[in-house]
Amino acid sequence: MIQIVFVKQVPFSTKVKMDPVTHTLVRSGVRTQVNPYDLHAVRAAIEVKDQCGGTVVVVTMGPPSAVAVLREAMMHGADEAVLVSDAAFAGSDTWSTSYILSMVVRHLGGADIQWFGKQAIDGDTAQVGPGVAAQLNYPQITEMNQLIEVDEHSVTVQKVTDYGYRVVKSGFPVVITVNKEANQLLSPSLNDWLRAENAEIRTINASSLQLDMSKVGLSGSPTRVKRIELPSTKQDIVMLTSAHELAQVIKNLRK
Amino acid sequence: MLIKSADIIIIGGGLLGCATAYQLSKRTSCSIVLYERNDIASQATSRAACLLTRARTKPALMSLVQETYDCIAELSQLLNDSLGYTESGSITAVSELQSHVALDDLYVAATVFGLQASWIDGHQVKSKLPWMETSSVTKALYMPTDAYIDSAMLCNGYLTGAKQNGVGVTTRVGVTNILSHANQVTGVELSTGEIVHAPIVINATGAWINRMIYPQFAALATVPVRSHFWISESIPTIFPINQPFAILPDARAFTRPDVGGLIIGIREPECVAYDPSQWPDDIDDVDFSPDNGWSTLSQSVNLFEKYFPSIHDLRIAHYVAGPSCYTPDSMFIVGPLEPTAGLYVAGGCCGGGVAMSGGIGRMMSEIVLGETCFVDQSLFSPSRFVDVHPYSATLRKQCADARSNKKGG
Amino acid sequence: MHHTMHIQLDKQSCTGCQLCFSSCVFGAICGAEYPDIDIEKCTLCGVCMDSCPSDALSLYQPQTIQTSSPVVDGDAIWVLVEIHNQTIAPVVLELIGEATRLSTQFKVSKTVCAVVMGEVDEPNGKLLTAYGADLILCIIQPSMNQLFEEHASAALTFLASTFHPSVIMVGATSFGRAVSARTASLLYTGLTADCTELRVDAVTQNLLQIRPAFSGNLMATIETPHHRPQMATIRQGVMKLIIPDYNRLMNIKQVRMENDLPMIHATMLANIAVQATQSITSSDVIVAGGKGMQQAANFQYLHQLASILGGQVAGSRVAVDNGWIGYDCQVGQTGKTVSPSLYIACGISGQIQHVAAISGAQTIIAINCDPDAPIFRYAHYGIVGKVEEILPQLIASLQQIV
Ligand SMILES: Cc1cc2nc3c(=O)[nH]c(=O)nc-3n(C[C@H](O)[C@H](O)[C@H](O)COP(=O)(O)OP(=O)(O)OC[C@H]3O[C@@H](n4cnc5c(N)ncnc54)[C@H](O)[C@@H]3O)c2cc1C
Ligand SMILES: Cc1cc2nc3c(=O)[nH]c(=O)nc-3n(C[C@H](O)[C@H](O)[C@H](O)COP(=O)(O)OP(=O)(O)OC[C@H]3O[C@@H](n4cnc5c(N)ncnc54)[C@H](O)[C@@H]3O)c2cc1C
Repeated sequence: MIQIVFVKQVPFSTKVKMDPVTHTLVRSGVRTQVNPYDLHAVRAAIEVKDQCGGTVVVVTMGPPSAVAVLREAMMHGADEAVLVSDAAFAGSDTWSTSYILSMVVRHLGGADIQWFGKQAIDGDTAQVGPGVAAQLNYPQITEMNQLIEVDEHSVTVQKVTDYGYRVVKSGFPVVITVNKEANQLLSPSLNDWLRAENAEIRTINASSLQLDMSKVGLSGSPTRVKRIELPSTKQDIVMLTSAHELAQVIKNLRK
Repeated sequence: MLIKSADIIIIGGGLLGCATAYQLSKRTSCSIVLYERNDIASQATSRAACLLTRARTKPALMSLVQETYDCIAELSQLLNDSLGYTESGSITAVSELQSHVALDDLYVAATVFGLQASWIDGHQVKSKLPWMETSSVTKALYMPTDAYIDSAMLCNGYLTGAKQNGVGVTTRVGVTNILSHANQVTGVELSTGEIVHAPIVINATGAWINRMIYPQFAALATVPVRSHFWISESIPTIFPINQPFAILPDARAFTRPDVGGLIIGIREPECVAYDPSQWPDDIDDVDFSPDNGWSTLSQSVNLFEKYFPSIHDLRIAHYVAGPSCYTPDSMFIVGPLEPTAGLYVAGGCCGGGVAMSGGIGRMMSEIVLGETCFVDQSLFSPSRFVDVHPYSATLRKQCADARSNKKGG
Repeated sequence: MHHTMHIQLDKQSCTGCQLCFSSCVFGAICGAEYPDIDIEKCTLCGVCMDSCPSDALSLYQPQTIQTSSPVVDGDAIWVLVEIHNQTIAPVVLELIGEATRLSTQFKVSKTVCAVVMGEVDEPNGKLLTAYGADLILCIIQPSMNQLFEEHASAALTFLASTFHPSVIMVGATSFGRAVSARTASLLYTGLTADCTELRVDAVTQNLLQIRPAFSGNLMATIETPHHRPQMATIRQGVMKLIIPDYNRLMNIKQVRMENDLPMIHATMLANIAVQATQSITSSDVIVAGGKGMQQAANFQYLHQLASILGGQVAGSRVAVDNGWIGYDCQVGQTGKTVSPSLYIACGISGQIQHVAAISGAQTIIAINCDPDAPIFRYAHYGIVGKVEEILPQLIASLQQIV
């Protein structure tokens, strides 16, 4: 069985401060990490592999420095890693990213299961998994929170719905996005690190993907970021005096 | 309330600043104010492994640590709070012959000082530290009264004690400048633009200590050096939570239990020192290791293997790193900063700021108040280094080497 | 230099003010004097171009790539209707209300249209109309199973490419997010998730979609200039209902979908309506206790509160050390990082090792008897008092009003 897990490089901290003097934005550090949801997708793929064998390939689209997240994903058990990188991809929004990644799936010859994290913590959009499924005309199962059964022909999972959950069985190929409940991550060991560190990483660029270049990068992206700013409503703490008042606040927040 | 003047200003709300505030407030009724530009205990203090190792070869250091233990006992009673204090005991285990001599010396120094210490054999080590491969252990010292503590709680404990004695504390306000006139300190300027007058200013700003005083006043021979540890996944059956902490000089390592996991600190053969002039104001913004400590662990693990052969398969859940400020001679810097009257410093913690905090606070207070110091203050004098270039590569190398060559925990 | 698209600097106009350095949230701009843009980190978001007072930064686009030509902009705002057990999801009516407000912001006002998968019954039709729908579009395809995201997306795609709406708004429910993402991909158009505010640009008439980024630490304004429809998802509770008018005329139009639906080789084995249990890392509400809870028995308050709010219980390191709660539920530097929409800290002082892991929380409420506790510096709401007194009162009050 072949499985592809898509992982994304995201900032380590999403904290942003305002410089008190210049009143401009200051991002907290430049450290990056694998999007935490994606590690649960890797773990799910490893659990499938433990039962059915085969290969788990992790793929990321990003700058050359994104190899770091591929190695981190390999520490969690993936067998192969592919970096999809090209200056022409810069500025791709979720649509373009989905398009490029779907072409990567084609280029790699397809997989039985294409895994994604439910969403990425820097954008929280949850769009790329379904976007790739749409481009490939594959079925999609979003927000898996339990892997129930898998064999060479099908996979049965429990997915979250707005009203509870649903058990779905699907043949292959299929796109599945993964929640954090789906499994317990295992911390890696030094041996895992060493294996990942020495692993060879394949790089794919635009020229090998037969892309319609008018659909990639900033110019191919339907959306544009017009402005980024600190939320205007960065209010001070509101001190309450009674539990009853607090109950009202909570009620308003939860409505 | 706006305080426009005080008798004593303390800059920095880490362990050293807070311990100084507490010790001073016990000894004087002067008005004391402390400024912390981030949150209390949020910088080096928040990253410590928190070992309170008592045994040291220098008696003065043992006195400093003893003072910390005394403060902990006092504060626990005063605040009716354990402060996360755990009397786990400690084991120092060695394998190599050269290390025997050093351990013998430590034993003598400790017992002369009056500390409880006993030699134990490999079986006893194994029964206390079940995860350890003890076949190579040739000598081991057990110190039943050694303990560790939660550094943040201790720091807040000092400050609560100080506040009860009237110390004023302001957080999220930094000191931007120390002011002086004719070689006498006159006060400080705050990040809010306010000026606070005081004849005495104590600089306890940890990694930023030179940024406060250089080049206007003087330069100190200390720079931040990376200190770190790894925490394994939680396996309480292998890592009992009540095990002693361990010091393994031949592995350049220490271990300590932590909620079912094991904290493992291993010093790398070549430590990393930083140029503090380039530092942000909050260590949260410092990337201590782009690969989360993995390459460092792989480079430094070889000596530790003989005590824990399966370290390569141990799942590592966390990597914690922070700045420990070293000096070329591995001794702290506590005292007046000549030639400016009224200016004092407490820093250069050399990885022992938790254990020494109470002692350093007391020493600083006694010096400031002109009392006789309970330890020989000349060992820690800021003026013992000459011709210091605080942001030079040479000093960074010296300080990194001081940590690399350290013996013990 | 680079021949691909990048941000270019006109050194003649640059004054060296360095405002752009800090405007870049990706840390891609640095340099001694003039900005030096690290193309690896640059995402071409263009924010630096806006930040430059002297217009020295611009986008370099190679000639070979043409921007796609504008497509037809329709005269309607659509809202996708989700119905479960004959009940319309509450977010739908809120979105219809927002659509009526938006429609008047366009130079030529737009029709507000509710899109229903399958037929709509009389009461629901009336409800949609009363809350602002000018038209109800029902899409009929006999073999459609509207629970399947693939079917719903295919149907919505078909409708949109037939009628060309200007805007499609979808509730940011699990279902809505999945369907809108698949639909936008099929339509080759932009989709902005979790918008908190929508406006119309007076000049371009584009929809300005404002949404949080970086766990809410930043707000981004996003537009879809050259593609239609402009798609957005919005969470429940963000937009306001309008006052319903039950005298409005109901207008229903049924559309038959001629195309086949995609073959789905997935089968549904069970569909169960219960709240699935969650771990603290993805729980929307977390009730956390620290040393101030004083004893294990007091954690029952936290469990009660969590069950009222549908959340999970977590703890500080001290709570874990004392065995009041499992290590799995430790929040902090050496525990879990969490990002719920509501975090209630009870008897937690707010040491950096703890609060470092809750910066992604949308709202933090602190209950602590010490008015100086650092947690109040991170909290949005605070109450000074003893947990053993406040929590039972809070639980009682909530039981009454929820
Ligand atoms: C990984 C690690 C493990 C360690 N393990 C141990 C151990 O096991 N045992 C032990 O004894 N020690 C240990 N240490 C050392 C111990 O943590 C330090 O010695 C101690 O915390 C130093 O305290 P400090 O007050 O000097 O520094 P800090 O805690 O850094 O405090 C300095 C404070 O000054 C503030 N400040 C700086 N500039 C200004 C300004 N201009 N205005 C206002 N405020 C300012 C800072 O914000 C900061 O809060 C360890 C250190 C590390 C990094
Ligand atoms: C390397 C390292 C890693 C760490 N990692 C973590 C971590 O991952 N997570 C973590 O949480 N901590 C961690 N810690 C511990 C951290 O330093 C703090 O000790 C801990 O967060 C404090 O927990 P607390 O807030 O529950 O207790 P305290 O700090 O003791 O606070 C208790 C609070 O309860 C209030 N209170 C007391 N009684 C009442 C009452 N009756 N009603 C209302 N309020 C009351 C008090 O005013 C006080 O503010 C770590 C420490 C170190 C050194």
